[in-house]
Amino acid sequence: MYADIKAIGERIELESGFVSTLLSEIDKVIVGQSYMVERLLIGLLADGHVLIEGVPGLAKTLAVRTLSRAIDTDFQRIQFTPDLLPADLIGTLVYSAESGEFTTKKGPIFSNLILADEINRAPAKVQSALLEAMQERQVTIGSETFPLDDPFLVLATQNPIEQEGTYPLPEAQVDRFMLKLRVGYPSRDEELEIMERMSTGKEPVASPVVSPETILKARELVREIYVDDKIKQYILDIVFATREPSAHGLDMDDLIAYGASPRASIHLIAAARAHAFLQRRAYVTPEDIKAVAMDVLRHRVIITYEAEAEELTSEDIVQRILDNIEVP
Amino acid sequence: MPVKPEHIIAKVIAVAVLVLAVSAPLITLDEALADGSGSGDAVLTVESLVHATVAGDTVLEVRASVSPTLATVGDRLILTLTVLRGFDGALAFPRVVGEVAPFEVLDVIIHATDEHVGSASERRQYVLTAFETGDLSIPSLAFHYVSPEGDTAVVHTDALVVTIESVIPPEEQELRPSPRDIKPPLELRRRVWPAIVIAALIAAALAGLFYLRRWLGSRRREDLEPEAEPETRREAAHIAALSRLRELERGGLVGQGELPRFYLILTDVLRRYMLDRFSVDAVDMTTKELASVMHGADLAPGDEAWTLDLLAYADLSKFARHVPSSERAHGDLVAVRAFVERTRFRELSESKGEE
Repeated sequence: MYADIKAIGERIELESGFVSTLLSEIDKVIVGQSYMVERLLIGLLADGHVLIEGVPGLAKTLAVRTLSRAIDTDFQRIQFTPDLLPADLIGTLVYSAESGEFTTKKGPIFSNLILADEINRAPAKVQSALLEAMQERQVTIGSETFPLDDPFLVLATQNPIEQEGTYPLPEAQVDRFMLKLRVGYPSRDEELEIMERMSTGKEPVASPVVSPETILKARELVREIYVDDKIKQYILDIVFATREPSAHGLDMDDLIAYGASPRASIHLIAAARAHAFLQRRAYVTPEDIKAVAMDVLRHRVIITYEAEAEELTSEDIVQRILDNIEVP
Repeated sequence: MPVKPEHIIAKVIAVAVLVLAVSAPLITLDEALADGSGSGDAVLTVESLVHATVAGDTVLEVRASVSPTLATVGDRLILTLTVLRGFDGALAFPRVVGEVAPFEVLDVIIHATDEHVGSASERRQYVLTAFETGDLSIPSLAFHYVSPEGDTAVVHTDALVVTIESVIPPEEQELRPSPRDIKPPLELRRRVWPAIVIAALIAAALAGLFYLRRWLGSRRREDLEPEAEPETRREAAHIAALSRLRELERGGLVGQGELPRFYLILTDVLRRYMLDRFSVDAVDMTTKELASVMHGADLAPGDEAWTLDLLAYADLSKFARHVPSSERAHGDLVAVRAFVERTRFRELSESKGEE
């Protein structure tokens, strides 16, 4: 059995070469933000949508645009605004006066990579249309259903400040994102480099270095990465600790209103596999789980008012769980 | 052209509507007069007639009358001022509103100037009411006239007396107390100190709640922090570890080929020993996390590297189904035991003795 894992490892060694090429191409445009870029790759490899949250000016949109350019794939940026309609997103039926028939006009969602910029600025019906497409991977216009392209990845951004006039995503819809990233400010050295790069007057642009076929092939390999039963039990321990903390020796029952859904377990194992792939490993270790657990769980653990009163966040709760659940 | 009956009916209706519309002000005035006779007495009028002369000629004649002269409180009275003046002169009517207290002016009706040969007649009517009883007087009113030649004349009307009666019959007035005797509302003394004390108590209670909440929050955070390891665990760490290693050896997992399970237990013994002996929370840490915190532990550099190598190798067995050789497994068991013996807690005297 170990021989199989070893064989997968060798294939990973061979086929993961594009990762460093892709990272170095992105690095030409994006300074720092390695955490965000790595998570975007995890989303791409694990076939999971990513929600990026951060204050304005942290290169969220630029990172996604650069990734799409480096992958040489269809890319659509949709600026979510309060007057956006579902038809603006998925498409609509258009009447043709010449033929006297309705023809389908597909929306921008029919693309490989979608950047839903400031997703919380659009009303619920638009968010719902997008999130339904994300889940079903198909869109129905009129009476006809169209499958979406593969790879199909939604990378949404939202701004944690300026909440006035926004439509916060409901928990059920946030749950459909595999990862929720919280992007922070660059370091002092990184910001110095940003200043130097941007002061040249010539904005760096990434070139296509990876084909979508390579990504799809890598995805297949990621699915083959071995996950031991002990790791699966460890995932269940973490997820169940968000639902029944006291059963796992954590005095946090009154701090958690709703724990993580089964989708969390599914996404946690998928993201951990992708993380192992990026580490060029053919098996998942607890390190992979811990590396992605915060991004998978932070938007799935709903805290109580009591926790809020104690100035605790869902991230504090998840961190406590990760710190206190025994590693196999 | 024959006149149709419906045309006749329409004309009759139109005339009737016109008559009603024209007579409307008269009705209003009549109503005012009728209100003035609310007491049931006959409408009587008191009147004053005065005039002024300039160069022997009468240039201004003022007639003031009020009706009725007997009314009850709230009834309407009509004060009529009629002036006959020289045609070309200018006349200033007196100001009545606000000047006829205790009467109040409810309405004013200014009639059109009636012009004659060499003279003009002007008439104004004021609807008055009063809320005091007794013989009340409408004071003298002054009319100013300026002739075309610039001569001036002033005419003062006589005061007109009207009797206003109470709505309460005279025989009952003695029995009812006068509303004027009702005492004014009591002015409560403002007590400032109780309000200040209550406000201070509320502020203190709110501040107390705020600090209580913060204190509870900090306690909760403290509760969530891992407990400090007791000293006794540190001293007894090697005893528990050596005991479990003996059990593992006796269990014969290596001989049975259950090497992943063997490494699971072996690394657990090692991690718990690290926790109890060096207060490094190795139980809840991955190998990589452990590597980042072991620098702070009281370990020799060689032990640190050896421990991490063993844990990384054990990870292969635990998570990648790698099957190590029996010799390697046995060697790792011996190495862990030696590590525990080497690093176990020693009392100061015991250490000196060994030296």
